[in-house]
Amino acid sequence: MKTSYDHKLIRCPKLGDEMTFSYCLHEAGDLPCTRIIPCWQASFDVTALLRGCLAPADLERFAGAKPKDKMTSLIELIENAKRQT
Amino acid sequence: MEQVKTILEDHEIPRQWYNIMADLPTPMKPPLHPGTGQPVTAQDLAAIFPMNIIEQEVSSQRWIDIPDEVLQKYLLWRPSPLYRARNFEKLLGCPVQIYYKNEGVSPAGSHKPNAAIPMAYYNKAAGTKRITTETGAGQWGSALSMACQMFDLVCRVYMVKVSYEQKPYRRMMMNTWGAECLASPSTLTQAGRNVLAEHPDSPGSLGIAISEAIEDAVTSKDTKYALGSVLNHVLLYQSIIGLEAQKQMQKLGLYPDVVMGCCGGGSNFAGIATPYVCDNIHGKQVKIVGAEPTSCPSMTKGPFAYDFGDLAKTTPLLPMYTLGHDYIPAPIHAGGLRYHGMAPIVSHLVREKFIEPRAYDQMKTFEAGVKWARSEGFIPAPETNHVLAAVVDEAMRAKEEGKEKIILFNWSGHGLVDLASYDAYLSGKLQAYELPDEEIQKALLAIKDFPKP
Repeated sequence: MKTSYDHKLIRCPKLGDEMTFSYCLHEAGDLPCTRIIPCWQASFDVTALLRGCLAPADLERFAGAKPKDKMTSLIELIENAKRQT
Repeated sequence: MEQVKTILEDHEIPRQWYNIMADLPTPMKPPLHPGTGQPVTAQDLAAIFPMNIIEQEVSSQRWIDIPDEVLQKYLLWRPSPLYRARNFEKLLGCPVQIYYKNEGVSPAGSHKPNAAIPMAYYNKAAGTKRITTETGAGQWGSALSMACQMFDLVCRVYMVKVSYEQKPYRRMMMNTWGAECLASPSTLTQAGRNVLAEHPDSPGSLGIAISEAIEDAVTSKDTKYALGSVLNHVLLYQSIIGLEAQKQMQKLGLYPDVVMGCCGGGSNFAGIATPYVCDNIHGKQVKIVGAEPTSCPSMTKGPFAYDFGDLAKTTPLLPMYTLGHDYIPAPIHAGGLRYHGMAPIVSHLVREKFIEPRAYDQMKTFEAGVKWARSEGFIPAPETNHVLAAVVDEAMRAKEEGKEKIILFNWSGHGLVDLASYDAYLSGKLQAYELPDEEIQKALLAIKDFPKP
């Protein structure tokens, strides 16, 4: 997914570093960062852009789902890790 | 010649940390297990934290002795000097005396080692051999790297790959202090391998880095994990800032009218504030102000509810002022101020009206930071600029009210590895941004079903 905003820079509040819009679009693998709308909406209509460039199924996953590692609490991560040993 | 610095001798360093939990007029709500909704037990956390730290996390003992081994390391830069900002005072032309604790004098350049050093020490004492952590831009990772070296611990830092490549200086600091700093996702953990299998060119994310650090701690022998903010024991260790300040102000024969700090996860703010909150609880009247970004209004606009303790939702449910775990802080230039929820202790003190939160937009904060650099010389970290904006605001209020005030604040760190942010400000690439109320309401929907304290 390519857009004309890909090279625009923003300070990422998660990393404390300047990131491109392209990074935000792919932060969660094949889905955008869950924070993309509040981070960018002051600059342009990012919601409309996402509607235009994401496939309907991906848009639905993006709107309804959270990144898999964020679904997991600390305790859950501990339990998951224990199962791997 | 006018006095600028007030110094404590090495032997005057405080020997105990102050634990505000002992003096809270109303008790804190316990953190909840995200799976069961029941209070988290020590055993739940034992896989990633040593028991001596867990005991401090839940302790209600007022004073906790600082071990000699920790004191000895603190003495490398502590007691930190208390400065009077005479040049800044002249620049502002307001009826205020401005005093600040310079935490930028630590080897890592910020307040972070105040917590990293005891964490390394207690891990060592508990038999830990390795510590893992995650880092974004690298401030916490570098502080922990230094602390682990001091106590002969192996340290592995998972640094988000894109920052690892883009911001090499903190990584170089970590390496210089002997830590292993890895680009995350890595091939060393299942979490990292899963991501790489699906996205070989993944630039990483904070969530992936946390997953890797925790998995590494849980699955490796004699290894624990360290978190640099939010939790009670972190705030406890930072209390040395305020305790030193009290002694230094006493040497000057002064007591502040206003105490201020910038609020991210709450650790540096709590460090300067909690000893003064104690004074207030016991009858003194000092105004205590926490400065935060307008675009991240967790204290000023959010309700009090249970929420997750960090952006990646990986710590137990903790009660705090919050905009919900889906809330996304706006593009603020303050890495340390990126948490969407305050530390539970700070949230509790706001709710109990011991702390007054104030929000400042990033243009105001950089304006204050540049004024500071051009008058006092030291270049502040971007997050430190938030408290400087609050100091300017307070000075102007004093002028309007025609009142003389003594202001004390925590200058939490220098910005010498954050100069790109200043470049962005000075070249006009930053924009002021205030979070609209409707956006806040939208974010609050995410926590509507959470238990209310």
